[in-house]
Amino acid sequence: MPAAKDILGLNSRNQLFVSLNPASSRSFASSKYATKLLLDSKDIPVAKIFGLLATNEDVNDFDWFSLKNNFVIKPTNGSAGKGIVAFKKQLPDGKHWLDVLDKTWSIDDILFHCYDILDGQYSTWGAQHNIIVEERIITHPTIAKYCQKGTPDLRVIVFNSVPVMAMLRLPTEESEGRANLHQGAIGAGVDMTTGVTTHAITGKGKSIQYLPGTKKKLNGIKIPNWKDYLLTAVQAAEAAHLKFSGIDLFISEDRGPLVVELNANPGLSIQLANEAGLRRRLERVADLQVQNPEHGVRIGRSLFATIYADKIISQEGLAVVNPKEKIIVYSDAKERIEVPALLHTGRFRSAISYSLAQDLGLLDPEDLLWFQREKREGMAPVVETTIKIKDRKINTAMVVSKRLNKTKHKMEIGRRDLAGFLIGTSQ
Amino acid sequence: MKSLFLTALVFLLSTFVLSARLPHQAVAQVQDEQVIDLSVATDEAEATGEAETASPSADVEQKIQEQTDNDITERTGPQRSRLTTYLTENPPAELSWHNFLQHAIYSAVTNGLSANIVVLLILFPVITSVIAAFRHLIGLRGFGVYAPAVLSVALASTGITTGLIVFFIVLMTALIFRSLTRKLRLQYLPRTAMLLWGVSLVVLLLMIFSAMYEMTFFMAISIFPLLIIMLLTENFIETQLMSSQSQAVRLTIETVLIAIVGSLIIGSETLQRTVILNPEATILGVAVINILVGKYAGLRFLEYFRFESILER
Repeated sequence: MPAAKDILGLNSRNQLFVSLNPASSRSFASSKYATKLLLDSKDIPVAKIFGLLATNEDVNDFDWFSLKNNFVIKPTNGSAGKGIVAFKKQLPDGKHWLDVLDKTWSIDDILFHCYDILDGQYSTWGAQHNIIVEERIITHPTIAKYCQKGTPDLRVIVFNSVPVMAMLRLPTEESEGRANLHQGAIGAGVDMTTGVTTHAITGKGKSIQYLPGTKKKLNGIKIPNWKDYLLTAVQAAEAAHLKFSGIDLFISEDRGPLVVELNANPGLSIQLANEAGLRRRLERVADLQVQNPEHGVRIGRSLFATIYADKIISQEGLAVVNPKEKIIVYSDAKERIEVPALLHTGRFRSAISYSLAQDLGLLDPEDLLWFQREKREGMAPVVETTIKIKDRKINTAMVVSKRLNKTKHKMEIGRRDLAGFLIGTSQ
Repeated sequence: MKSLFLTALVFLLSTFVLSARLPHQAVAQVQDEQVIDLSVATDEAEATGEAETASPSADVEQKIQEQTDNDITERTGPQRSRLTTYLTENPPAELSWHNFLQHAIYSAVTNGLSANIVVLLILFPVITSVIAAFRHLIGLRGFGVYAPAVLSVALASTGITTGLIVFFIVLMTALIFRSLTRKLRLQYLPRTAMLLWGVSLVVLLLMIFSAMYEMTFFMAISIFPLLIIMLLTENFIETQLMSSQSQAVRLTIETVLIAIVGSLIIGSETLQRTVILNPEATILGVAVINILVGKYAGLRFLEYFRFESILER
């Protein structure tokens, strides 16, 4: 449970973080079309745009027959999904199309629909009514089954090129297919290390366990290829030079993450979905020197793991371990090596001896996460390490300590990695 | 289109009925009052004295006069003399670095400047600071700073209850007329003009109606607070368009809440007297508060409730 000073409120968001975004990139974030052009030019995956149509002439001139399958026609400033038609495929005659509701459309039907959009039939605001014809995204089946209407997406908060918090947003009947929480979508917090949802809230911020009307649990949903999503989010933020942003990604079946939108003022409810304070996370990565997006993703994944103690205990029961235990550590090349370790609840983060880390090949510059102060040693590097205690594999970040070169045990396991263990001398 | 014609027809009919029922004497009275109101500028004691004669129209007139007298936004009347008297009774101490503004105000008021204007100009930034604090410390947003600030002044002028009734009626009218004019598919400005057309007509009807039943609290409303209230509906409708109905309702309630607090501040005689005797401290204090509020990066009061479920106890 975070303290009040760890939570990001509107004041701190606007004053301390949004203000770090350069003015030029804020304008990017406000235009979906400009965003797509920018990201596309940097080879960051986005939903393909087939055309942007502004006049009846544009509609007539557009080569509709070239659209073979999976495309969407939508008004640029519509809301509530009004006027959006999604097509599955072109029929064999080449003159008709089948939409997702299995209705057949002729070319004239499509043209008339477009004229209606240009007339402002489906716009709720603004005077400029344009049409976007773009690729229809097919959501990955593991996620799609949690959503009857609309397209779910993943919101990742990126700060200083580190992904710090994420939320899976599931449109509902109430939100009329939109993925915005304040319109009634469901938000599920995601563990940064594993990409598994932890806890979900409704649009009003209330906790919710099951998808409304079903017995589908909202926690434990695993987002496939999690690392790719974080990486794409960081790349998109860097491309737009956004220091602090919320990146929205589609979870597509065949192409993985596709950037939908960049937000320079991301909403704050993501904290409720993750049951964690964003301000503390942002402050923790503020001063880190991040070399590249991969580095940022590694930092984010190892810093912001959710502690699963309760879950582990309920599933596996408490495991009793000795204070001095032989544990398995994996080398950079995934070899298993057994080393004597001290299970030391007096420290928070685990430590590994410098010589052992070197032998395991964990000290490459690219494996380095950050530096932190270690007692009696000054600044010490922190590296990503995988260990196994009593058949439990733990992926964590460890301080590299030269002091442990001289001791009998080569690792000290701290409280952070001891959740679900009972330490005792009798077995 | 049809519904619009119908509304216009209903309006014309009702004016006709009303004017037929309105006694001519009352119409004459309204004109009279206008004349007296202007003459009051030179001598207010005469007007109140005359109003004591027992005819019902004189009674109405007196009530309106009383209401105007209590209105701080009026430049004339006993309110003015009250503040002026207070100021003259408390002359500033010897000129020094900390009371130069007080000296300036004192001599300006003795030269005939309205003390009410002075107090309003000093209190207006106080109101805007309070509004800013409401947003950043408490979390009530309202429609920006300007709308609640001018509404505060409007409510101080009309009286809170009267102002709120008018506001509610105007808002309902605006909503009805918006849905009516939407069917006409007009461009933005003509559509807004049409909306204000409807709102003005309804307010006019309301005024005539209140004159008929001698509802003096309505009759005493002057034009500027009325215009301010009418313009606020545009804020409401814009929000309704851009985000949602519930958001618009919420922001309106917040605006009204803030404006009530603002009007209580403006209307407080203790505060009026304090600021007119301590203009330097008030002005500087407000600036300091603005800076402090602007630098505050902690949670807003309402955010504690929003994040209640994840806050550690």
